[in-house]
Amino acid sequence: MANLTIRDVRKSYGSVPVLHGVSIEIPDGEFVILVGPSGCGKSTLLRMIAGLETITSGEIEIGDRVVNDLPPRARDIAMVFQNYALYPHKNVAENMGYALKLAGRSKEEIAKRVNAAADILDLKPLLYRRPSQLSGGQRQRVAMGRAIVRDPKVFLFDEPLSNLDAKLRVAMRSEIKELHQRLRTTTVYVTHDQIEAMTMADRIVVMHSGVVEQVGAPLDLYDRPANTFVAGFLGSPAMNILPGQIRRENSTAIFDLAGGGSLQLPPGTVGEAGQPLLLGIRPEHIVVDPTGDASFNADVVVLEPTGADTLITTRIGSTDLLVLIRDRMNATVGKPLPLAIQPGRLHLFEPNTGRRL
Amino acid sequence: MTVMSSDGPVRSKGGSVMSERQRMILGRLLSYLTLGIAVLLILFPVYWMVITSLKLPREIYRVPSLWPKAFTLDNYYTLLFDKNFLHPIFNSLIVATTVTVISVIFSAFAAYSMVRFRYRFKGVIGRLILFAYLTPGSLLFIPLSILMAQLGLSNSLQGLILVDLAFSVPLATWLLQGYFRGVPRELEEQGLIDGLSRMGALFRIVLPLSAPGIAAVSIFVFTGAWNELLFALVLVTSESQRTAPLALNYLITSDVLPWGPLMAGAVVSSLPLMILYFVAQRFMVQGLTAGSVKG
Repeated sequence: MANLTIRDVRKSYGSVPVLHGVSIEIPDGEFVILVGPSGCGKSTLLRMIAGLETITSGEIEIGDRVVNDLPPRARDIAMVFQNYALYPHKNVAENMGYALKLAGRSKEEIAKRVNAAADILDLKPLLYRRPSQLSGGQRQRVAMGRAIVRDPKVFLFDEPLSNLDAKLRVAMRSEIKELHQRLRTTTVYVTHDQIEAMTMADRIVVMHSGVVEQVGAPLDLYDRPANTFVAGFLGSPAMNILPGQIRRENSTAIFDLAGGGSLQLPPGTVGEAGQPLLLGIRPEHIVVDPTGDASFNADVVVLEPTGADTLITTRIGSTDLLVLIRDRMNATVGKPLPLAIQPGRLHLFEPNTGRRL
Repeated sequence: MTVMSSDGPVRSKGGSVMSERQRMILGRLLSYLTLGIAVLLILFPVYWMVITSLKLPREIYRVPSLWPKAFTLDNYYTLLFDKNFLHPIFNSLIVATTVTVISVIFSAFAAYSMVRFRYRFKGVIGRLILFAYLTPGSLLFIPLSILMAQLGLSNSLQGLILVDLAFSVPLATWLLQGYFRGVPRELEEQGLIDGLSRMGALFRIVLPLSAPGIAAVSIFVFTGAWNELLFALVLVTSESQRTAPLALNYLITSDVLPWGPLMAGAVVSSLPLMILYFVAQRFMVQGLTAGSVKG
């Protein structure tokens, strides 16, 4: 158990910088997820915490001790790799106990701790099997068991669920979350899957091109994204981001889309009129509103019902607008649909920098 | 196959089922025939060598026969006692074993660094290693013999070992690189996190998992050093330092070919290789890394 501090950490390969000064403060016991598209530097950062990559500049502290120059084995961390990395020449129990064996612990202690971890993860019947005799999900659990056995200061997960099928991924997601709630070990978890990030993390670090875009609790990031990148990255389907400008008519605000057409904004919308802006609105925050006066019409282009909800692609002028509707309703392709934006759900961004206004 | 054997219910169209079955049998027969021919091609010279070594001289020079009229161990007696052939066999064992052990150790380090580390001129060094291997020995034996003479190592097994190493280390490095690449990087990184040093990761993870590769490389290098004739011929002058191929060569006096002792010598010098192949075969099991990481 320990806190983890990353202070202005940079990484370059030769003259190519991949991390441009990342600072994150992770208190003891927190579950932090680094999320971002591939190539954003999240895995590199994780590997630097593990000691598998050198640190070009900056400092990494685990439990108030700077670990920059310590080899991985001296950092008291455990890592779970995307492809599990189980030793093929050792059985499950030997895999799980290897770190303890190298640390010179007694056979009895190793057996006790391996058994305890196997109990937590239902691995008891598999202890004497080889990795090749296990399914993907079982291998993943063994890899986690190996991390638990060590009782390290920090758990590091590198896209641990990416190789599992969709159903197993959902199951393992809650299993990892439950495990963390039980053990309360400081955890850094890397994924490119925003659903994993939203569902599991205490705090999310959104990264993009070697820079931290925003750090915060999942729902805070969802409710108040700091910029268009975070806004577009978190949430599924992605937020509509529409270029245009606000026009005020009497007491109502109207948004004129850059691609032609306009939509009426809910009452109480702030924002300077006449300035080019980016309007962000999540598909789930648009409602079908046949009667309300704060509504606008959009032509239905595609209907995608999933059963639980329906994703409707609509078009205003030449701008596409995604709408997610929970209730069953009669929409017809080619016909206009009256829509309204829920009050207080709008996001306005500066068009050049993408920053939230 | 189980469907085909239940011929009761399909008897009405049994004709087509039978022809399908016949085709399968025919296919099997053809495969066995091809394999049989291949085995024959490989084993017949071995058979001829063994059978000739057991024949009396007068029978060897008569019309060739597949089976000797009388078996004799005279050729072996001549070889082992008159010609003292065990001494060159012993020399060859020293040379080939030393070359194999040193090559595997050296090239394991070299190959590991080429596969895992990033450093300047790595690509050039890699190509140079391969280039060194591709240089024909017949081009190099004069410079190498001069070099050995200047080092004071000519007419010695040490000199021969050194020259053999010049060819076997590049080959072994090149081969081992391929096997090391097959060991997933994450396994090693897991080892580093679990408490191993770099060296520890090489010896406890990479090498055990490359065991089939090491076995294959050892066999390659050992065979090469065992069979090496050209450099031995150039470097070794005294009888006490002769290796097996060289001693075999010296059995031939001017234009007389003593086929009996020659073949007996060939049998005796093939035996260590055969034993080695038989033992190493066990280690060359594939798929040892299966299941460690998702492919």
